[in-house]
Amino acid sequence: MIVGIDLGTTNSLVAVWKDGRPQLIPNALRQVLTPSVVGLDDGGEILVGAAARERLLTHPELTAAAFKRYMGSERVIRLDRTSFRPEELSALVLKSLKADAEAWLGEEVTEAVITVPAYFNDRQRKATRIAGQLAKLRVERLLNEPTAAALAYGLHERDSETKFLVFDLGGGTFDVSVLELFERVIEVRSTAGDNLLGGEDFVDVLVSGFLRQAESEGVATDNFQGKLRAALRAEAERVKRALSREDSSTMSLRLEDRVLSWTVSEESFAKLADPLLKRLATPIERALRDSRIRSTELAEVVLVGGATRMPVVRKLVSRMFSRFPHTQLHPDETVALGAAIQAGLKARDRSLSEVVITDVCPYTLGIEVSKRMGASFEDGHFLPILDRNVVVPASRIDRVYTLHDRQREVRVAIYQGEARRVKDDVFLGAITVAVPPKPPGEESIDVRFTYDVNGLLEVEATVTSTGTMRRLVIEESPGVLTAEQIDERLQALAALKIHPREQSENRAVMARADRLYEQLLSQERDFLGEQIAAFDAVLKSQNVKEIERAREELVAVMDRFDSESYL
Amino acid sequence: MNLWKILGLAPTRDRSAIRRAYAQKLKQTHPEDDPEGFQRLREAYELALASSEPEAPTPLYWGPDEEEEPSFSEPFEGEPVSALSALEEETPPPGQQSRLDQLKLQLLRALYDKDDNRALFSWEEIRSLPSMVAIETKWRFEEWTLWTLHDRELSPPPSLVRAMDAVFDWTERRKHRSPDDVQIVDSWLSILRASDLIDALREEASGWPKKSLRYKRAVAASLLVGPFRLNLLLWAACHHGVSAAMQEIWREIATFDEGAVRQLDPKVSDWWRRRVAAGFPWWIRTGRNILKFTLAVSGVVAASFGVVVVGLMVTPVDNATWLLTIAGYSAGALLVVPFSYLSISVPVVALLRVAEAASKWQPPRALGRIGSAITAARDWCGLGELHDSSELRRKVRVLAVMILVVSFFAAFILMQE
Repeated sequence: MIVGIDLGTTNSLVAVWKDGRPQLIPNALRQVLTPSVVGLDDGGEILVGAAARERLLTHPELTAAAFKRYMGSERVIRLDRTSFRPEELSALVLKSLKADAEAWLGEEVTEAVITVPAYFNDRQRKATRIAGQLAKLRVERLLNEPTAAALAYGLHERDSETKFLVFDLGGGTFDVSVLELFERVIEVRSTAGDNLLGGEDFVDVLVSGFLRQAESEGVATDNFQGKLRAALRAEAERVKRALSREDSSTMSLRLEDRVLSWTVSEESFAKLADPLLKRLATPIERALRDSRIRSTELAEVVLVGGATRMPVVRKLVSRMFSRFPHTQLHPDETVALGAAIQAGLKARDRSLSEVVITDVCPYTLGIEVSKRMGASFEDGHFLPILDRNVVVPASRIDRVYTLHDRQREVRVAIYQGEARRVKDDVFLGAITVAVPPKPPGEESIDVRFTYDVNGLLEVEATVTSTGTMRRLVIEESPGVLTAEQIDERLQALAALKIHPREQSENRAVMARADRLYEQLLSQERDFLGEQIAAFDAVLKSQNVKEIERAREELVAVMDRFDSESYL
Repeated sequence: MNLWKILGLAPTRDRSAIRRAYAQKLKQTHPEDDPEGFQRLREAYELALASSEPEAPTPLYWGPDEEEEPSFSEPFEGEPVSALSALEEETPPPGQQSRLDQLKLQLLRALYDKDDNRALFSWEEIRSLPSMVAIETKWRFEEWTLWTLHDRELSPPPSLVRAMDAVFDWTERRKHRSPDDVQIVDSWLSILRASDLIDALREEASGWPKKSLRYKRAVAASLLVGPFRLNLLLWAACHHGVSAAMQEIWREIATFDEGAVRQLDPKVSDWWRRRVAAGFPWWIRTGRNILKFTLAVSGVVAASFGVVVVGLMVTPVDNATWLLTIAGYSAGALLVVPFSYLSISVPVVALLRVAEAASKWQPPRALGRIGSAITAARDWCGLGELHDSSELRRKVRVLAVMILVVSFFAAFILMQE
């Protein structure tokens, strides 16, 4: 069985193509959104989702969130005494989604289509595929998030001929794709983006604003540690969401001796967020220029991604395109639905036989070459081989020559980017090919670079004189695990204890209760404490019906105290 | 052509027919199933499109624009206007002009009057118009700017080019090899960079009286951009370092096109082109060398004379042997003084040459990682930039002299024992 997964910075979803349409699969808490948060329980068990999200406030040093931003890097995240790579944390989220899908479908799930930001580079994509592998999922297809949204959007527009733009602002990344739909073909014309711009940055803006206010009141903010910082961030998130509905909202933080508060209006938030809003324009203009389509030729601007709910973003989009954007698609769910459609296409479901989608790779691919400068050669120059926004799959052959006498091997260094000097581009790795030793320039290799349908790079090399061809593994790839390392990590993950799925609801409720207990004061807190103790007692009885009832009671109590639930 | 066979179509220039054929074939040659077949199909499609009727070109608009937020009902519509219409003739009478039109006129007048400040001011006003947030408005304004300034042969001052670059992102677009690079922008950016270089040289030239470490370059820069001073010219003639700096500066200037370097006095730049590029004439070089030689010789003679005088004062001499003593001391001095000079300068120069060779050394590929480790260590010591920096060279010299002096002292002390 194959499913589609939206592995997001803030939330993840799993969906499937069933009965002629894409359907979202609920998790053990009966919700379709699973927070992309992983934590360690007090007993050393792994928690994923809502329960872990609550613990971000109560046990910040045992919980990790927004690790999608570190995919493709060597960054390691510590939970207590164990270190995790971002691929491993993502794999734990994928495992949880896999279990949810299997429970709902009643059959084994072996394969998945996972979405990635369109602007993810080769390393980040490989890391995503490896995360799937670590979760025991076969990932043969990665789908760009705006393309997934376009699939979900375009499926209903079958017979039209239109040009449209997908504006995808998620928790951590921003993607823009310009697409054209004709004769039931969805063709991505160009893609651009910013991998470091998302809803989380808007939260950061509120956090810094609050800290500045606190400093002006004479509070030393440098020693805000762990829990205080987590609480501050949670407040900022709450206020960001509140400003989508109200004209102003107040952030408050309880310190030991006082309560700090700061009221921010929609207007002042827009001013604070101005630098971020300005950054949104650059990828949009670049995508339009590369596609040679003007903003007035677009029939529709489609908004996707939770952060597009913010009024500042919507206003900006309206003004940039001189029209109201299309907001009929659910910003959180669309990408997963698109992934499910792609999964259905892959499984050759008959109802989808008429739809074809073609995509592009947004990065230019090239190699490092030496240029002749006077009498000597200067290395470090970038020679583009596959231009950005070429339709994938695409490939090109280039011939490289030896430089030194009796050279025994040629090392080709591969880069992604647009800069003229390789030091400003992303290093993907290098391939080394042995050649027969000859005088300089007499021996050559034909190197074939291919972007596959996932935008991943494959390399084949043929030594011209001998004609032997080899598919090459790219070595020295920073940020990408080797096959042996993957095996190691698989074993390490298998050794982890995962919190049992059947207990998820109870666990999530307890985590929320713990979090709320910390936030409340005096009488309310005491009352909640009693309720928690009562629930604990019922849990020990192991009577399922009684537990359910007690849980519902506890949730009702908490809903009264909690001004905003987490999802 | 084979491409029509791949598309399954008779050769045609009809775009929609080509697209339909591509879409049909695409359903059979799925990119996921048959990547190579798909690549061939895509190539054929792109070639066919390239030779077909071009799409109706999106007209460039520069009629009056709305300055308040456009209504959100229809997409933009306007009338294409021929390239040579003057804005003043086309614009509706003052009562009906939009704010953008007024500002455009203001900008044009400022450019005609060569009033840079007013031009920059009008530009800032246009940039802050709320309607400029709309992408189409901004692009149309860019097109208007390029066409109008080009047609009327108005060249914007560097400060305005810099401001325009900040809004239109030309430098970034060139870095990203955007498909719509316009030549005239290249020449404006070139003028801007040349202007920045001249300003930097002015900065350097003003450092001259303070005897900074880079005084050689400061003198050279002064000769280029500053008022003419005879003493500076003499410096350049006599001091090898200054003329080397002049050549370095001229190389930087020469990377720009003829028209780009506007701020230089044409007579000065002409003289530089003739003198500096070709090098100073032989009689100046010979004269410089003769001067150096004379100074060296007189230095040696003076030092020897000093040694003789001191020796005579120190040694008890009687009348018979004073001539011999003088001759002895003179011979000794004439031997010792050059010898001590050489014994210091030769090792220093040798060390310098070795250091230069080391800094230029490129490890052969065979050494691989070891080679890059060595290079990294060398760069960490600062040797990597030796051949570029005269300051580093000076430091090496000082270091060498210190080492030699210390070793002489050490040898001297050891010999005492």
